[in-house]
Amino acid sequence: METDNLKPTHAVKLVETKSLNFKNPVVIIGFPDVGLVGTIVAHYIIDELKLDEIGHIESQLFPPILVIHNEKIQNLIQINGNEHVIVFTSEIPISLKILNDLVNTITTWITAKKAEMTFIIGGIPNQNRLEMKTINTYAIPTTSRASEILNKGNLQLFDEGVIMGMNTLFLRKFFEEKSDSIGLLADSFLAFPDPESSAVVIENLNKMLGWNIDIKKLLEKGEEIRLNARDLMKRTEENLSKMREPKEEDIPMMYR
Amino acid sequence: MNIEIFNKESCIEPLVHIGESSTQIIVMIDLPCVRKEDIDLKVSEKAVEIKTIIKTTFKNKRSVKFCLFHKIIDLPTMVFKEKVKAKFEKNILLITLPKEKNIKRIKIE
Repeated sequence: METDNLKPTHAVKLVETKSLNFKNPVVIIGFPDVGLVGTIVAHYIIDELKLDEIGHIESQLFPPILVIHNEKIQNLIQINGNEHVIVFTSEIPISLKILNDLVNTITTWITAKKAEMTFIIGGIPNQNRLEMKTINTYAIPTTSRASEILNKGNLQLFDEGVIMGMNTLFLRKFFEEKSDSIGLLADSFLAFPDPESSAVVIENLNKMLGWNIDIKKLLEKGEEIRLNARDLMKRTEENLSKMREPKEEDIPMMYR
Repeated sequence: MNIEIFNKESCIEPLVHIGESSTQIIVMIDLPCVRKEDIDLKVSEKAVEIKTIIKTTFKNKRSVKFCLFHKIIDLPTMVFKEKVKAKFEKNILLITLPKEKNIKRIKIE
């Protein structure tokens, strides 16, 4: 069923393929970004919680890429979930051409499903990542209610600075709509997949949501994940480079 | 170690990140599933070549087997190859290459 009543944009269309009676679900958005932290977290949660595909995004502006897994064509941007948890993932870096429409379509849909809380997962590049003994996760809540839940995790508030990339569009949209959401950004390698940082984010989600997702497998398979995620990381880094080209006047005065 | 036993089809390029300061170039190479003793690293004044066996042969989504990382990295500036240092940590190879200070001041006539 198509969500025509949710005013889909011209660039993207959200299609629900499985009808569920959602009960104020927790939503995880994990799209390709710095260190592929969001992607790795989202895929691990889907596997561990055994979340079926319940929908996807269609767009005529997708690049000419076909992803096939177990002899089946995969949707490029997938929605997996059950009545309590919904996870958004993507097999491709999100193009600037569809970015705004995608964010609007997804946030409208999440609001309509009366989500309890939305977590937008990503990495934050740290040039000392290789030497780091402790990986920090920084939180950006969009409402005061979202701030309260942070006390349960081992998190630092992102207190000052400028963040770029697609996750900022989600956070700004939720902030403008006064919807409960939290950006979770872990210290990460900029251009290498980072399963270790992803595991730290999952540990924090466990604390905040009362989940019990075991990160042992993620850490054990870390090198294999890095090997398999090579191509996606390369394309994501190219995509991020395009996003990192703001004009000087786009950056607030205090940071110039 | 005999890297040459692998054909070219089994080669993949590792992810590379290059950073630069006024005095040195830092090259980071992501080498998952690689052992330190299998890494063959060559450096010239203008380039770095890395070649190493992947210890876990794996198949990608097209069922193509990969056995070897290989990449030649052109450096943005000349380096002093005798003073290059490399360390392997968390399966990331970190190469520090001091820039060659062969700069001549030109008098403007």
